[in-house]
Amino acid sequence: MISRCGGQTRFSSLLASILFFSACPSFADSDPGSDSAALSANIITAGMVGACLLFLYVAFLTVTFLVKALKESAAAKKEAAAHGSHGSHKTEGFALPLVTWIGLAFTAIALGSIFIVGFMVLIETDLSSTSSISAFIITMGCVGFVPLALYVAFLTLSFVWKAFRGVSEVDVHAPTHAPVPADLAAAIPLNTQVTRRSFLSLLGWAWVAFTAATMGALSTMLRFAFPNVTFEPPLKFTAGFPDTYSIGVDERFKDGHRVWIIRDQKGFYALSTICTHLGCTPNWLLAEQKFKCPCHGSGFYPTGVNFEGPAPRPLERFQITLGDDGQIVVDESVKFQQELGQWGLPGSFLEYKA
Amino acid sequence: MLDGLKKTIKEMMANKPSPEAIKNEIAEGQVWKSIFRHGYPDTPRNRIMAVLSNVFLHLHPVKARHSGVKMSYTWCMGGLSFFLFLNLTVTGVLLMFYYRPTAEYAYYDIVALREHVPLGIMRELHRWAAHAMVISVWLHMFRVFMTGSYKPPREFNWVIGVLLLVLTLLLSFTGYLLPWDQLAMWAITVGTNMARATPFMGYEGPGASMIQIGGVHLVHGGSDIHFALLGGHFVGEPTLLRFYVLHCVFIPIVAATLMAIHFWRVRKDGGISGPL
Repeated sequence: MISRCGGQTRFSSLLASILFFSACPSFADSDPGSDSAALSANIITAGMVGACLLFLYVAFLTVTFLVKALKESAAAKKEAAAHGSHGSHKTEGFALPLVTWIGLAFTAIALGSIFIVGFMVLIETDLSSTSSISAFIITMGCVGFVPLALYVAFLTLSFVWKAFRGVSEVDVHAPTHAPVPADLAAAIPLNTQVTRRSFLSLLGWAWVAFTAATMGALSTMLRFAFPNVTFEPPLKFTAGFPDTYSIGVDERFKDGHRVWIIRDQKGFYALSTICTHLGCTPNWLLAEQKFKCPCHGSGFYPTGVNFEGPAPRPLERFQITLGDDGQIVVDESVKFQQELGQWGLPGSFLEYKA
Repeated sequence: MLDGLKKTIKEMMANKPSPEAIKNEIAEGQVWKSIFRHGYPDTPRNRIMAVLSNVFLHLHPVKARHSGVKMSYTWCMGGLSFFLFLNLTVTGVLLMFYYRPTAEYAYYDIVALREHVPLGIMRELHRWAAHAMVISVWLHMFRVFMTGSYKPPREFNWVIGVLLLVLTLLLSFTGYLLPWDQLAMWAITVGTNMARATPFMGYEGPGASMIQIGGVHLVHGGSDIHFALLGGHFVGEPTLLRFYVLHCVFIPIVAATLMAIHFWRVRKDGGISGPL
């Protein structure tokens, strides 16, 4: 029992981790860019495959069980007919249809949900699109929870029925040394005594399934905290023609994009307005020719290098290039840090050509 | 009909029921009996019943040590903290009638509370009660520490208390953003930047760079705990809404639940501790 349960737990935790990671794709507008999006598409695909495998696995178990149940029922009837009317299997006719109906209902729902989800994937042809993926994942989480919950209910009901029937009809003192059943179908005892072992096995299965379903549902809730689209200014923006800038610090993109564009004798650089201490926005003090942070007093030269206060490193610079139309283009997703020796790299500085 | 009424009143006046009789009439009536299942609390049994059969009182000890309820011993700081929490709940709910958690309106609604709304002092009450609650919770903790009331069997209640302290500070922190002025913006900017350094979950934190598949980092500026907290890369309108919901719904519910456990455990652990 313990070793079996261990295997099941590993299976369910693997499943839960697939669901979890598939529910955490990257963001279209986030830093690492397309690599990450492609990766998340792969992870999501793995998650989908994993979830579908789960459905199929559960459906397989159900069908196996049903086949076994029907077979045993037929055998029991035959036996009863051969032995004449002992009356000990009177409830047989009642029991099997109940279990059968529950199992069939479950299978129908599981297969139906696979079909629905598959159809969703088909109509949402662009699988790399994050929004359709997340819609799919969330739907998967919700749809997946229903059949799994039903599965637990099915297992519980069928077991309870078996337990009562088994105790009332079978000699409980009879010794049993049955080997550990190899699969779930064998674990559900039909026409035999309910052993403590099979009881625990069933209970373990029910809980494992329930845990997996709950984890799946919770992962969708966690995913809910991460929006796909933020209504923040785009990281890449056009900053006008070079001629519109005079020498000095230009604050026109400070409010909208958190960038100072600074022109010196040679050209331009784009400086982040985010203080490297704790993220406030320093003020440009023209008379003192420095940036001064109002939060904790850090000071920076127009170059961005820190010289006073608690800021540990210079302000970051962003990529600044000239667009095809001759306008300056700033890309905040590419940054250059002085302490890493990146300020000399191409893209960190735009030479002015009159 | 009017005559009948007059007659009834005349009869009532003639009978002149005594206050005792009226009291008995009420206290023995079905309505009273359906609510209160015990007699007047003047006997030990009825006093115990009065506490045990009341949903609010039953969280409290039936009896407290005479020494344990001395002001010089408890400072009443736990009680004051709870009183302030109730105060904050009432004033907070009232403020919700006027405050809209959007970038467009939040600040002006706060200004309107000060300038136009009748008894807009409700907002000041909320603010000062919040400051007072942080202080009283700290002092309560200090008192519990100094009187050794964290010792067995009260260790678990100390743990609950620490959680309540954290929740109080989080309530204070989330409420700080809601006025949506410069102080709020930058205080929350500074405060939430710490989340970026959370181990494994913040993209600048230790271990975050280890979480990667095929050289692609899974924890970055668009997927870390800082992003989930703010609903974006920096403090903006989504942050305001998130903090509003956390401040008004999520944290108060958790705190109220823990408070119920906290008070109940005081009773279960033998009432207020005695002097050492």
